[in-house]
Amino acid sequence: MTTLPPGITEAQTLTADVEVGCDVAIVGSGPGGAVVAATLARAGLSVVVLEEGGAFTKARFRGREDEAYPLLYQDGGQRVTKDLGITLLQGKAMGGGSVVNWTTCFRTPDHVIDHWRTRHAVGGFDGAALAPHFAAMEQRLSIAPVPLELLNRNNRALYDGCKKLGWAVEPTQRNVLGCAYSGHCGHGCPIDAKQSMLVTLLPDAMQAGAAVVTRCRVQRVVFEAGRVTAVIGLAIDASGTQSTGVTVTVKPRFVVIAGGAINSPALLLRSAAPDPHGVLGRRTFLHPVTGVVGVFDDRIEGWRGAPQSAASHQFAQRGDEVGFFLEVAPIHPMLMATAMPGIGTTHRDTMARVAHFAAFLALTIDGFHDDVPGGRVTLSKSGAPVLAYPIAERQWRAFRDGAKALAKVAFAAGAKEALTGHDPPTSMRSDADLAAVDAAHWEVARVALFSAHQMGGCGMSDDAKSGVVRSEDLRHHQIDNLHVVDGSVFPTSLGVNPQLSIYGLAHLMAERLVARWKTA
Amino acid sequence: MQRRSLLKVSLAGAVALSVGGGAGLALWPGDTSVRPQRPLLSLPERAFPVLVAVAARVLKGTTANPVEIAHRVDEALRYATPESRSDLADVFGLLENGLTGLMLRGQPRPFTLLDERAQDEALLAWRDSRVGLLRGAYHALRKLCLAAHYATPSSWAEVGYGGPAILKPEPPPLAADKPVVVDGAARSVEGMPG
Repeated sequence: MTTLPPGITEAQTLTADVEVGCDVAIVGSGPGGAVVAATLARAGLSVVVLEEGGAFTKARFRGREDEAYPLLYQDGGQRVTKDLGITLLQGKAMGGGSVVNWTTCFRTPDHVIDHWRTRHAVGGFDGAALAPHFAAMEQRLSIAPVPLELLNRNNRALYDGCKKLGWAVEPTQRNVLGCAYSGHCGHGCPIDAKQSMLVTLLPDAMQAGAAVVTRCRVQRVVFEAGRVTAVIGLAIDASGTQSTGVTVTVKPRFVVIAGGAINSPALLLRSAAPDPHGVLGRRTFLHPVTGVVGVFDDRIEGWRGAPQSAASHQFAQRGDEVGFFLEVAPIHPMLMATAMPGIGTTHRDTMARVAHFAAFLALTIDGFHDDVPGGRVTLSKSGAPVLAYPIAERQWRAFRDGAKALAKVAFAAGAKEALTGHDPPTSMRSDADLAAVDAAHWEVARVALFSAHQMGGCGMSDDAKSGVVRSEDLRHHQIDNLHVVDGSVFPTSLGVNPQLSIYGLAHLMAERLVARWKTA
Repeated sequence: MQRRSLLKVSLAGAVALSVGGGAGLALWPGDTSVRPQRPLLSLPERAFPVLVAVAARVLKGTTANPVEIAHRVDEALRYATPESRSDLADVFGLLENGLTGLMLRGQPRPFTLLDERAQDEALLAWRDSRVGLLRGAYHALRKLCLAAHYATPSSWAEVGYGGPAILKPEPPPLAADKPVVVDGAARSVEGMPG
């Protein structure tokens, strides 16, 4: 048994198996794991963070899609639901999704936390308990609203369109310091302006003594007599594709799983964790997104500027109908090429107009209706996660309504044409054509759907029959020394971009864990 | 995340047709004259000419070289799960298989032997199929080829994209990275190599 030095150990450089002892092993270095690591390390606990992704710096963040997606996204950017219906953009790197997200920050809405209390037996905290933790993270990550005059033309089209229609819309808050508005948030910030975990809480944690092991894929946790006794990781080569054959074994007193939605439940499934009520992996939520492209006479050049800097929650709460919120997507050639329909010259001619496109998104809010239970994570033969996500009829209605709302925004902002994500596309020239949205085939793999927000799968509930962890401290219901602290614990989706919800919840829970474990 | 069910579709179709006496059609040889220019990393060699033919249709009219696109797709698939890679190899087999062609479009010739118009029709038949997984496979093939072209600088002029906002030198190859050592007392990872 050895100890690791504070700072980064890149597992691809290890030449022999290692066995490490520590107080707390944290699996995953994204928004959940990094916040917990910093808090625990500062409190004097010995912390080892295991991360499957690589340790990269801004030297590798060159704003190149061909470099960023293979290095910084799950499955090299090719993650998709089981029926191939929903593309899943999910980060993988030291710093997790915070390295590639589009910097949008919202606190968890109070009505969502209230819904969790009344419908999912989440009694361990309320909005008031979380508020100071949101404030602390907002301060640490320099989270502040984007000045209206700094919206790029894509975001400004959403803002102006909503204003003309009389709909609620606001500039978003972003976690940036010295942002140059390069537009490359999704490729890793080229100047470290984005206050991701890579440049904030992970350095905080390492300064306080934490060890971070990158390129270490955790295969399983080992249970003995109702406790975790070891965490077993496999070293991965520098490219992130092959095992080097070296094993990293950590023997901690406590374990925090923070691999994010999809990966955290998959790890517990691989480990044959107790799941007496069959809830593990279920209720995985995606904020499934459909898009509408507005075609403008002027050049929009949606590849520059803050990728997301305006949002409308006009339609977030629709009672019996599934709600949705409106944002925009950055427009880079690869991301748009894969989203736009067709092949051959049809597709080429579409791409020739891409500088004139504004990309509008409707993010549907899943998990709040009984017939919208989200997806379920299971394992493939090789142990990789597989997410089956059936789309309920109520969600298809929300996609239709969302697409119509987006087309209205596009025309209100001055677009000459609006295109849905269908293949073949549905094209509209004005509000008079909106019926075309209803006439289109809303069916899996006939319309582009994607998700940049993965949540749930290890849901919290104080009722052990319906949750994987309890809400008071996110402790596993059946395993004493195992906690899950990441986006997988949300019992529904959030109705807002998730990163700040994860930071705030992790900050609260980490303080509670310190109070317990310092005396344990 | 995985395309395993496609295999079932292909097997079901093959079984249905072989019962009807058409089993020999599956052996109709395709055009295998297009060879990889460097070792393949993810796909079996038999998939390569089919992928090149698909890339030529998906990227028709662009500056893309279909053989180079096929190699980039093969390299990108290193990051996919083993099941995805295997299922995608099945997809190429399914597209090339005369039985599938006969079943879906009344045309038993392998994809690589079809003329360009018929190849487009074959792909669009998958796009418009009632079988969701065939539609999904059409998009998977399409997106892999499109990503391989539009992620690279060679496409930028075609779409009026000026490239990254901040130019940086090319970093060393990943395998050549030296171990990163960060002093635990350092305040930030600023200045880390690699």
